[in-house]
Amino acid sequence: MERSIENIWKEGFESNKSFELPVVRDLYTRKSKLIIDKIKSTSKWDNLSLIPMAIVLFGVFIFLDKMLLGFYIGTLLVLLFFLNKKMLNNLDMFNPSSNTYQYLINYVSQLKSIQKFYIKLLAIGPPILIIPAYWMYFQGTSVMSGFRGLDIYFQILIIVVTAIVLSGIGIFSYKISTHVLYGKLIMRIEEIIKDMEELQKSKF
Amino acid sequence: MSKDFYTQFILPYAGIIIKICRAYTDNEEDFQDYYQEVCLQLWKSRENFKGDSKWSTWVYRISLNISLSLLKKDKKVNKKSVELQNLATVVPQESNPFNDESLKLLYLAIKQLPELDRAIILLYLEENSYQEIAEIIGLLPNNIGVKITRIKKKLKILLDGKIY
Repeated sequence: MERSIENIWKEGFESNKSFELPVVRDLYTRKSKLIIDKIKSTSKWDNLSLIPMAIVLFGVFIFLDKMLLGFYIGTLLVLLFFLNKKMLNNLDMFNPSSNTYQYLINYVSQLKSIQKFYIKLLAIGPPILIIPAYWMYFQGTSVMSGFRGLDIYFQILIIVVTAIVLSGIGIFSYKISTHVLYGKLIMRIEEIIKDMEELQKSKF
Repeated sequence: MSKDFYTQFILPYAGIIIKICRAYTDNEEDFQDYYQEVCLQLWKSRENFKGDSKWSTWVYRISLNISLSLLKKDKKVNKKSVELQNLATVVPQESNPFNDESLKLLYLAIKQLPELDRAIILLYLEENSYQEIAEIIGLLPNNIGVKITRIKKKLKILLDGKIY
């Protein structure tokens, strides 16, 4: 005679009363791995996007008959790509299998130190590296002759103000893009660290 | 999570968590992950439990919510990884934790149901009232009876002649 599903369920679990309970351990290993993988893939693509950007800008400046400027900007972007790559390789050196908690702490701290490094770089880099690009762009134009005709103090003032504005734009764009791409992921890692600390306190 | 919390509030209800997690996973590794995540969320959400319903109702609710959300995430991840592999090489690893062959077949049939139907039939088989099922799932109690009849019919078709 065919058994009802209700009976199969009831009798089946009665005969399975002794089945083993799962062991609760490494609660955050999988979750952490997923978030770190997401950060890794985002940063990889984020960095790779610099290469097509360099090629496109090089092409645009060739089209505008500013080959030297195109080469200069393209080279800067390629150098930035290799610098990022080196930073990301350093992040991969942490070993996730040893201790998830320590791994996450180290990972977040390394990520934050990379961010601090780029904020400093963007504060100094754009004025030093982009002002020559302006010079290359406006060289031989009426804008440049007009600039040269200005009082030397006024020239310095324009350069300083441009440098400060460029730094501000650089830092602001970096912070916004970092927040959009990595903000939530970093926040999730910090939540996990907080939970793990609470679990440790409870001596689980 | 203190050991007291685990012993007092999770261990006596582990059966509920296990039965639900089994219905939404296809292998032992995923099952362990789902079980652990449910335990963790029960611990994290302990202060949100106001005592308006039974603790077991809370356990059902958390177990189902977590299983459904993990399943959704896994589907996204699997979709990406399947795209990278040859489809023919992707074979689901079925774990067989049950001694009873009929129970195993019933589980296999339940896993073929849509996610919400799976939740409803699990709650029904666990002898929850229509009112309790409605509370956990968030549907009207009147609809639950009709849904259960339909799901049982589907299961009967899936299991036709396979269990005795």
